[in-house]
Amino acid sequence: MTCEFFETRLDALLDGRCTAEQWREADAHLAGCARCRRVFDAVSGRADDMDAGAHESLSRQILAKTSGGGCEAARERLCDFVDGALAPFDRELVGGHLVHCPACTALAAALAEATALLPSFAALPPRVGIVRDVMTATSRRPIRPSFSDRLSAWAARAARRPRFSLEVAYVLTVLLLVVLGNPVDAFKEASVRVQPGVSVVADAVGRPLARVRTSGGETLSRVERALRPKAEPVSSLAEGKALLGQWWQTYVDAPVRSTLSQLADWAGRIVDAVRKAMAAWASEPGTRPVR
Amino acid sequence: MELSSLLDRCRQGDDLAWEAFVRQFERRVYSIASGYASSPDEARDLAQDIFIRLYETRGRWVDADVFTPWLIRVARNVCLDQLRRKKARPPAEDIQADEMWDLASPDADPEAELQIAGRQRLVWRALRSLGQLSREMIQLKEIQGLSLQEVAAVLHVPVGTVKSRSNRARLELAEKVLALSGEP
Repeated sequence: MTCEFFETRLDALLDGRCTAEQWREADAHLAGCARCRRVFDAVSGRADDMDAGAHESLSRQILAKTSGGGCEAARERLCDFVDGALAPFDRELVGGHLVHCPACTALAAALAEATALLPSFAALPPRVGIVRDVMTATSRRPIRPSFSDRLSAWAARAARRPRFSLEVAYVLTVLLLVVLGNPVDAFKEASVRVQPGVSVVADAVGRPLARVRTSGGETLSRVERALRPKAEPVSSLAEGKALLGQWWQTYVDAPVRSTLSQLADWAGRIVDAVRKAMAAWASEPGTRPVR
Repeated sequence: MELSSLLDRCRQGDDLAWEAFVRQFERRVYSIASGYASSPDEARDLAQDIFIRLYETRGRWVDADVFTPWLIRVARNVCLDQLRRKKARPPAEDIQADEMWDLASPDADPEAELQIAGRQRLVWRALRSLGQLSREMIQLKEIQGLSLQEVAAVLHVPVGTVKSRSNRARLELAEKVLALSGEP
């Protein structure tokens, strides 16, 4: 076998497509031809004059000049790798990268450790128990009040503020100005219009009250005199009964009836006077309604 | 104790059931509050506020099968409301000795317990040093164990966004753990 013929058979030899006889011929040629031997070892991967470190360095140089390395891609899949959620092929890829990358291996180890320890933080004991404080704060605490209750509570708090009265007075003053315009003129006008009605009512109430005062005083005097003990003693029971009846009629029954009828009369007059005054007020032109 | 029965009793105003509820959920609520607080005392106050809010609204509690995600959502809202009012400080880069959080360990072996406590404290410190968003994501998904859909419902974001944010937060946490432990 010549060297040229050997080179034509090289691919078939490497792919295992030769017969046993062809192998023996090629082997015999390689035993005697150093050049073909070197070529065959190189293309078949048997020529190894580099150690593992040199191979690793060569691989890194190649990766640096091409994809930049697989660390970024490995980081993206590292969480699923640690969780065992990667497909078998991706798992093999990441595992293969970790074999050659100490940084990613350390990161994966830290990730696995953190993942294992994190669930222990789900229930932490506080330094000082909070159960007692929570029970104190919540015992018999009512359920969250409704909106109207909260509004009422807010209004009560607002009313307790020192400035609340000032704020209310301010708001009412503004409203008054809006409603009445110039309040001074409006009040003067109103008091002038009301004056006749007020006078009628005052007269209707005042005169009867004066009469009641006068007649009441007289009645009281008569009752006092009747209750004063008589100088002459009563000689017989009949005389006593007659005297008692007479006293009752004169000093109790008659005055009370009279007073009651007078009071009814006065009440009627007062009501009439108030009606007339209100009618007089309402019938005057330009009267503003009271709000 | 069956959760559905406990919730029913609490809704009806049973104070004993309420106490049992508080004891049952105290640690969990405190843990949630600690995710938003900057100190154990603030976490304690937040936890109390959360329970008070729960008590006031006990007539409107959801059913037992969806109670835990709902509880976490309520707790989160209370914490955010309180923090907005108090204008919370950003998370501390380191924790002072007098503000150490108590991290209980379930392991009975003292030597193992020391190791676990050491690594657990390291992870806790790394967690506290994260930003608010990353810390909240880890709190909801990894610590409280909510699903992607539940976290998405709490935060009102798509599920895909939750997935990517969660992965990013976890990687950030792992890097912090490495940095704190002195490894490259």
